[in-house]
Amino acid sequence: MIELQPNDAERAVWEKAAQYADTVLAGRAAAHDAGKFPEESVADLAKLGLLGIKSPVEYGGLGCSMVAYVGAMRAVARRCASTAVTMAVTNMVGDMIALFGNEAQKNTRLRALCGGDYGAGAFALSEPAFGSDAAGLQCKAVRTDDGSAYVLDGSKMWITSGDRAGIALVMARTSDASKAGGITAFLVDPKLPGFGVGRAEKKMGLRGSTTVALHFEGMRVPASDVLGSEGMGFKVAMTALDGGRCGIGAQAVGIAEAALQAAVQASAKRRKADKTAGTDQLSGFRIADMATRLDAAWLLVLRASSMLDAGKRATREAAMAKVYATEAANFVAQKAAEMAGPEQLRDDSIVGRALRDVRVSRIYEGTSEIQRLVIGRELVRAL
Amino acid sequence: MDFALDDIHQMVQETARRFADSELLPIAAEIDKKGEYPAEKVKKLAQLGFLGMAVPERWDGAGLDNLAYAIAMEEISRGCASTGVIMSVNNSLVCDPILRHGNDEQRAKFLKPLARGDLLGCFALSEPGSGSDAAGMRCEAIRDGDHYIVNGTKNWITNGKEADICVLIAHTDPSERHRGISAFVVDRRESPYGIGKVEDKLGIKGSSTTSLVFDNTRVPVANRLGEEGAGFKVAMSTLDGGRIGIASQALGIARIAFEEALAYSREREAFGKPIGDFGAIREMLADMATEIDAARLLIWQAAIGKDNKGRFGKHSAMAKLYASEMSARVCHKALQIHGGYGYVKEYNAERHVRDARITEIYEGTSEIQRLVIARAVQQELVAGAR
Repeated sequence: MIELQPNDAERAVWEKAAQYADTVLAGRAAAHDAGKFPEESVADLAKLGLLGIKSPVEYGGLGCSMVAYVGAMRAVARRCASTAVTMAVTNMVGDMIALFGNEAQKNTRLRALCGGDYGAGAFALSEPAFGSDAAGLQCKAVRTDDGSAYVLDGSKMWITSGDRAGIALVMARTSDASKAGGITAFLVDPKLPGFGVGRAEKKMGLRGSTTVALHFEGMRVPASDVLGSEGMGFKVAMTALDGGRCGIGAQAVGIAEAALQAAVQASAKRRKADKTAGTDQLSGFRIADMATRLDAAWLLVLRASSMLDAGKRATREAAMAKVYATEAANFVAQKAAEMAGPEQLRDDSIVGRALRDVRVSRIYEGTSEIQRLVIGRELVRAL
Repeated sequence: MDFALDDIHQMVQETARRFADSELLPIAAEIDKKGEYPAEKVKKLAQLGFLGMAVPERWDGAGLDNLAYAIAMEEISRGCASTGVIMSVNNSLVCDPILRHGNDEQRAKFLKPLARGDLLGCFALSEPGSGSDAAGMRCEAIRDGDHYIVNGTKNWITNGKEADICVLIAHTDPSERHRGISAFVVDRRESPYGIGKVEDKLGIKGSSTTSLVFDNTRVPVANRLGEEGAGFKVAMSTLDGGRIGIASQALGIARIAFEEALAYSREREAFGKPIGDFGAIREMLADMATEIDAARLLIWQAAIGKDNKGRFGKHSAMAKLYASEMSARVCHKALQIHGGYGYVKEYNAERHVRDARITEIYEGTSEIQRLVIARAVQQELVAGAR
């Protein structure tokens, strides 16, 4: 039976996130945008359970669904996109531990992650020379002779919260025999020797979240920190991204929604002052297009999320949600900037910030081009 | 949350799909070429219960809901866009207002045969001089004892030639605009009116589009739908529902255009491989598929909203706006993927472009949809500002 409404538990998560975002985050967003890492807010999110929305209750999570997660993500992103992306990656790492981890890993690492002991979590897949072609990654993990550990050497690039996270999920090559099949996932403790943090990127948007390079130099990672088994890393990464794409779609919708609201309010104010013929209808037409695309985007995000919740394969649907939602959100932010008037183009205005924050959503967790490739592949596959 | 269809809706989808595959796809090109009304197919639609889908069984309808209707409309229009619009008008613009605004007597007399498909309906709102500005209509229905005397011309009437029953919107008080308008069920057999010009159209050539000429046509007072002066409301709420049907029609047209383009992209080779293996073609196909899915979700949202008896006007306007413009984009790309073959009538791609175009115009142009949506969104986002 088709049901487009969240269930009670999901609605409660949506409302909890919205309540926190509207009352607390909204007031901090400008400071985060000015470069302050949302440490306090991440701690708040942990207390609310929002760092482990899907993680089982027995390990400190909320034990809820992907649908709950995307609704919370949208609500948080509406007020502070920097906090939202920090939250997104942390949840993603937790989801992977819950899915692929053993009992000990879930008991210690997942519990600590959900409880906020790690601050944020980081996900390290991309490298200086490998982004979309993730299976080609070169960061090495060589097993020690006694089998007790792996030695990591190499670099990772564009790592959200990489300098802040208490845990990093790192994909590294354990074998050259197979491209994708030679990759293994590790739960890396950044306090161990050999872990280095590189340059912090200066970004167009999401300035409250940090983006850094990571360098591993002869770093010994205990074999017990392998997530899943050797050679399973690419599967872990792709599973993470299917869910992650719904999350980024939701983040984009949230950011755009804030821009739309600000633009509509600004244009309503202007309309009272300026009765120039035609402007009324033109901004109305823009509003209609913005709202329609956002509605469609949100439905695509919910569809993919609900399929993942039902345990279905949703590679095509998640890619559709991501590419559509992020492009719709960029369109909305652009149009909002055109409508809202000069004061909303200031760096510290809601629309100005949204315009900067939303751009990267078309790039990270799989560019628009990669999403289209995935969709195209799935279309042919279904023939 | 669940986006999967339940058994009943799946059954409707399969029934409609099978009918489209076996009965409509084989004849769609021919009825387009000849401009021939698919009378036999419409009869078969009636046997399937598709002419009164959301009408309760009590009134001889299929007793389904608007979601089922939207699903069936998509599949039928995938088979043949002309058949789709014939079905849409009878369901949305004729059965629906009689069901919602008619009294039991009117339902028994008109709705039953319409839902069974014994009679076919049309809906007369637009005029030569008024389309989007519906309240600017000139057609008058002036009370004379227990009749109204109707004078005026209606334009762009789908099913105009074949219809036995016309839901007519006319001024009963020409001194008022919206509030002076009333709705009627006109039975052409009892209250004869003339069929004017039969239009020669760009697309959906299998359905008739005519003007209707009322020249002192006498319509019994008993045939008035709702109160005198309530006609504008009847018309607007009818169109809210109709937009779900047209959005589904646009979606069905896009589906077939996409499916044919995808198949063609696997068959046709260039530079030693199928053209579908080239990034440019694959990107077009990915965008087409994504937009098709987005439109379907908007349509389902609106249909479910109507089924739940909530406010669905904004959602149906969004569905109609998005699906119709999506369909134009998808059909345009599908033709492009076919190259020169897309431009000639040996293939169907050019027909889909022609068929899709009207969905951006009838039952409220894209511009009207944007006005409806903008008004609703502004009210939501600027609470109390107006």
